[in-house]
Amino acid sequence: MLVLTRKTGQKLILNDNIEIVILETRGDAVKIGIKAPKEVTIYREEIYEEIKKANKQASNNVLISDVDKALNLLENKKRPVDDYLSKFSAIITTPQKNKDLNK
Amino acid sequence: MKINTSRFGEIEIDENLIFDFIEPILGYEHLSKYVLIDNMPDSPFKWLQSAEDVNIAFPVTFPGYFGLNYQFVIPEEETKKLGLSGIEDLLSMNIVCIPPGNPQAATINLLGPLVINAVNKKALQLVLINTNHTVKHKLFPGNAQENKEAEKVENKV
Repeated sequence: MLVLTRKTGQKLILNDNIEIVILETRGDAVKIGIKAPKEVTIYREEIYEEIKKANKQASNNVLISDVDKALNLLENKKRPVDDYLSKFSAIITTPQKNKDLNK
Repeated sequence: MKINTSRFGEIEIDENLIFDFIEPILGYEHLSKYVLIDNMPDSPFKWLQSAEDVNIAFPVTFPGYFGLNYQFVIPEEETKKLGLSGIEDLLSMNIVCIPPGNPQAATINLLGPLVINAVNKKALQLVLINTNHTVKHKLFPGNAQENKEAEKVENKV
């Protein structure tokens, strides 16, 4: 890791097109300004990590039966698919019931 | 083509229905090909299954179905990456986390919606900024314990 010391108002240039400026320091807080091309995505690390963790939790060992149980909690589970869900019909895969699975 | 899955067995999929995540589902940077699986028609829950890893699948759903007032802004740059020509081609869904054995505590990730161009099947997980949406929004609001008690009473009656 490259470690640099900067003073308030001083800048860093990354890759010719990203500019980072130290705007203000107050106690342990540092206010940073970033100028970057629109296609560069910038996340606060904790939000990125939070979503990553949630994704992992959602997919880890989740069973079809878990989803069925959640479905049972829905009051209107017999409600027909609404307009929005029907938009998905063109891009969704319906698995063919495979007899081999039951063997 | 056929793909193997740990939950649905071997399934036949149409290659045109494989989503290409041009920006990954966070934490799964090595995977980009997914299919949306409908294992129960009329259910608001679907599955986003990896076409590359048999074990990886996410339960997904649609906030509108749960009466949630959910709106977000998709940055112009992201619409460009997806090659969107109009908003009508944009579909979105959200990952659901169901703790094993405790479906009452299920949460929906409203901060990182999955967005898909229904025409070219390009997709990505957005990370919303400047929003009050959370990663773990309760899908079934109300205290889980209270609901359990209510259920017991109802059963007795």
